[in-house]
Amino acid sequence: MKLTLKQQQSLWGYIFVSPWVLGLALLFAWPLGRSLMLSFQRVTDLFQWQTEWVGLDHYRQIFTEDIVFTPVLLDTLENVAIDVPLILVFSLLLALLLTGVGRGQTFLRAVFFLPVVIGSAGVIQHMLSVGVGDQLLMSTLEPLMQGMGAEVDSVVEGTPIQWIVTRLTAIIWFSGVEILFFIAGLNSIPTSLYEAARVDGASPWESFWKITLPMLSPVILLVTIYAMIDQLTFPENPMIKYIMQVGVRGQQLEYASALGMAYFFVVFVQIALVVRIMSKFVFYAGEKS
Amino acid sequence: MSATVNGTVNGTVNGTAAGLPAPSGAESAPARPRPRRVSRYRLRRNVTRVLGKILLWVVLINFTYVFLFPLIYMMATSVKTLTEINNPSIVWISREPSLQAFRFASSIIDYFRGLWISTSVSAAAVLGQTCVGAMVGYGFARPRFPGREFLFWILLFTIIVPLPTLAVPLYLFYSKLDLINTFMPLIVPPFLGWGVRGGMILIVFRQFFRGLPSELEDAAYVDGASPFRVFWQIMLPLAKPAILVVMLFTLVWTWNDTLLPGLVINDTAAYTLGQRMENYAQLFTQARHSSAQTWSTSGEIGENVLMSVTLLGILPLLIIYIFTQRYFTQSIDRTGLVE
Repeated sequence: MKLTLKQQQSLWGYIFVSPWVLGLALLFAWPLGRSLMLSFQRVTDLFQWQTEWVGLDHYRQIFTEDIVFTPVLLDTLENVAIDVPLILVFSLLLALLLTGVGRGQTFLRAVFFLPVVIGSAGVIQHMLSVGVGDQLLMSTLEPLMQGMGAEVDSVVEGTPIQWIVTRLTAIIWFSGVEILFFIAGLNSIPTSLYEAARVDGASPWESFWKITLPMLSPVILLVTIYAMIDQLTFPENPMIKYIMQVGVRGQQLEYASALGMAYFFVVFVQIALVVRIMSKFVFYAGEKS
Repeated sequence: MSATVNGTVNGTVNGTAAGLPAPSGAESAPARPRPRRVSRYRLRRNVTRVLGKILLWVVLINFTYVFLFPLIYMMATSVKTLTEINNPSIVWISREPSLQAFRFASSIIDYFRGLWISTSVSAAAVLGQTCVGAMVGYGFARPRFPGREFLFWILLFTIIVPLPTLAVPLYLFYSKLDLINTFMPLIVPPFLGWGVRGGMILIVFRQFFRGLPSELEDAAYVDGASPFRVFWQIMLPLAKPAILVVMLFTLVWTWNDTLLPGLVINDTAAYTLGQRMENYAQLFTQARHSSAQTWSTSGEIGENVLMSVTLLGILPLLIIYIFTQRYFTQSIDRTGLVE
């Protein structure tokens, strides 16, 4: 039998994606379905694997009795709500500054990506456990303050400066990939747009708001989603740690599954909401929709 | 008036374009009726530009410091002795630098065993994720087949599911296959495109292949090549920038991952380097909270050892990154990640 080019193409298409589909079935769909089922069940015999149906009991327990889940969840959501916008602004700012640099850009980009390379869970935990945020604050401001004859602690304590600088260390760990996205996005904006605006007498400030931001809006959406996923699923996230602890060390398998499903639901709703709101403001130039 | 407006626009918006008007101004200057005024404007424009550049660099160097701070801090602390850490008069540079902390660190976490484990696991993951990822990514990008868009939506969906949601069934799955405490759960999934953040890798490849002109493939099809041959002999050699980016990302993400190893490896002898680092950090935090005397005397648990452990753990990545960063930063522009 001779296949037409179109049939041949679809056949090879399936062959190309087949390893991933196999993985999808074994490593994603099956575990997800089983996790969902397990969250409605209770294991009566772990070795014989006997289970009984308990309905929504675990979920009721999570939201009413669990003294860890709700506070940690609110904490995580608060962190996302604060950190993601900060990461967005910070990485966009750095990307803008970097594209303004001619020579030396490669070096600076390498430095700004460094946190991604070395930012393993262990390292982050190490650095946070010795309080690097405060160390940075002290070492930057101390010479300055001593010049003015004041103590750092007394001046900075409780001010926004302290808040920002201690937050900054958390932010730089998560900005590396975002900066790369923004640089790539900035480089893809045609320079002719800026030239045309300049001829018409636009100031850099105006062309940033009227050209850079709209042209960059698809990238902003992408970076937001990436940053959110990053924040919500990194290993040191307290929620992730809690679920892993319940499941792996506590051996409460069905409860861990229910926790996992509940958390996933929250993550899903959150990201869907943000995408929904943000895509109203996204501007696509050209034919893409 | 128009010259100054031009000058500020040039100086800040587009540094490279600012070079262009200068030569033409120099040529036309003698022909103009009042050359002095023109040159004064030019001087002012140049001053603004230079000042802008200086300001830009000052800001950037400050950020460089913030980014390098953790690394510098690690290096400075790891060579200090325990007494020096508690001495507030020594901020950065140790007066008697010693490698004692490194010796403690490498023996406590059994560094070379962890190094061997992490290196082999990461190497396998990089190989699998790159080869299979390129293939699957190409499959999502070019050949048209029914259900492609649907599968791609599922791919996007898989990215936002956190690992803990799947953790329990995955654990049961691997223990049924008797694969707990083996490296198979870390090595095999990348060969199906399901390594650490595999979904992101597939998207990188898909975006890259979609950005390539399709005329190349059409020509090959006219000459009678099969889709596999087109992928293997035409598209793959063009994908070098994407491959390099994916290799580095996969290496970094696999090396730094502690979630999946934490699930499937619970024998401390088989811990990956990342798990060993995490383990020591926990030990340190516990000792610090329990009592101050016990840990300050032995010398095996201290901030200098903690920083040595950290430094040793990321050293291989750091070395690889230093040698590849030039190609890496060039490649990332050409992957068309954000098109």
